[in-house]
Amino acid sequence: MRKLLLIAAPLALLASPVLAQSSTGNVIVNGAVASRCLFTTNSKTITITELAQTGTGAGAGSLDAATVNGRNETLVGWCNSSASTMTVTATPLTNVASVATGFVNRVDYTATANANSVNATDTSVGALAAGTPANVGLFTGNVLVTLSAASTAAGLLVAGAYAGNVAVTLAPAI
Amino acid sequence: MKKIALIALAASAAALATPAAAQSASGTVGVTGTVAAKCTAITPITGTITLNELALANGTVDAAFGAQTGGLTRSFTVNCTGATPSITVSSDALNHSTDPTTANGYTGRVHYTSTLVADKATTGTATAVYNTADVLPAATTTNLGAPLKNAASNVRVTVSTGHTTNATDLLKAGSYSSTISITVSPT
Repeated sequence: MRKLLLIAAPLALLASPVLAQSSTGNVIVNGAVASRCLFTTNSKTITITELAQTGTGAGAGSLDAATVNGRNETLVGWCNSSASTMTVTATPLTNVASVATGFVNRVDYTATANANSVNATDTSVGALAAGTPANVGLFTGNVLVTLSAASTAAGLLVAGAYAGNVAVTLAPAI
Repeated sequence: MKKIALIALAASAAALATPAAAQSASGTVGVTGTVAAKCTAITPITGTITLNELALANGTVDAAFGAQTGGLTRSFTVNCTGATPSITVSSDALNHSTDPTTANGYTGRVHYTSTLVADKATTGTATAVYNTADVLPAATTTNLGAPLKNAASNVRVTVSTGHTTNATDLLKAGSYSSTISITVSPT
């Protein structure tokens, strides 16, 4: 009988249950968002019905800068990167009609775009070229475009239609 | 006379050698065993789900994760010995690597749903669903109510339903990452 107990005891120890065991793991989920800028309102028009001074004064027929300066329109856009930039390219108001001595067919101006409380400017004076890029960072909302510093060479404005352009470029820089 | 005496001695010796009653010795050895409730991952519960571009063209989150490559589901093979194992799932949100904040119409955090499915040995499946939020809820646990099916790819996790705290928020550019934690328990 003593031998029987001695044999049974080790067998019982071997059969003791182990602790419950769970299995655990992780799955990594990765994504990315590309740097991007987008205009949701990308075109507006500033209409100046008369560029020249009216009346009979000494300046009659020459540029009335007040008709240009301060005129503005609002685009709407966004950039999702802190390194985003905004650049303005101002193209002068020009008239395709030919000029004669004492007349001009070009009105220059400065265009300023404001987004995220940052200004980017460009003047149409001289050769067509973009202004200096301004860092607007990450923003969403209005891009206010304002005209200023209108000027011409000395002379009277030739009658006809004048057309210019302000191009605002938002660029992600990453 | 001498012979007689010898015979008598022999008879006496024979009497001394008479066998006693047969006596056997018997015993038993008990053999017992147990199987602990346990779950073991036959294929490691690891993997990567690559969502790629998270934003739509308008800058908001693509709820369907349409730019993903490799699929939105990962499968694992787990063996469980318990009669009614449980599955548990949780995760953090997809957070921007440097700026997961939400402000001014932008966010660096994308929430999503993790759906963990386990096949039952009987029939059907058990499902544990976890939705991330700005304040992460506790992990979601579901008991199968039946043994885990003894088959390959019997546990699967799927991500879906990307969204942001404010539906109109634009996503900040950059890298986003999240980790889904999965546990299969024997009880």
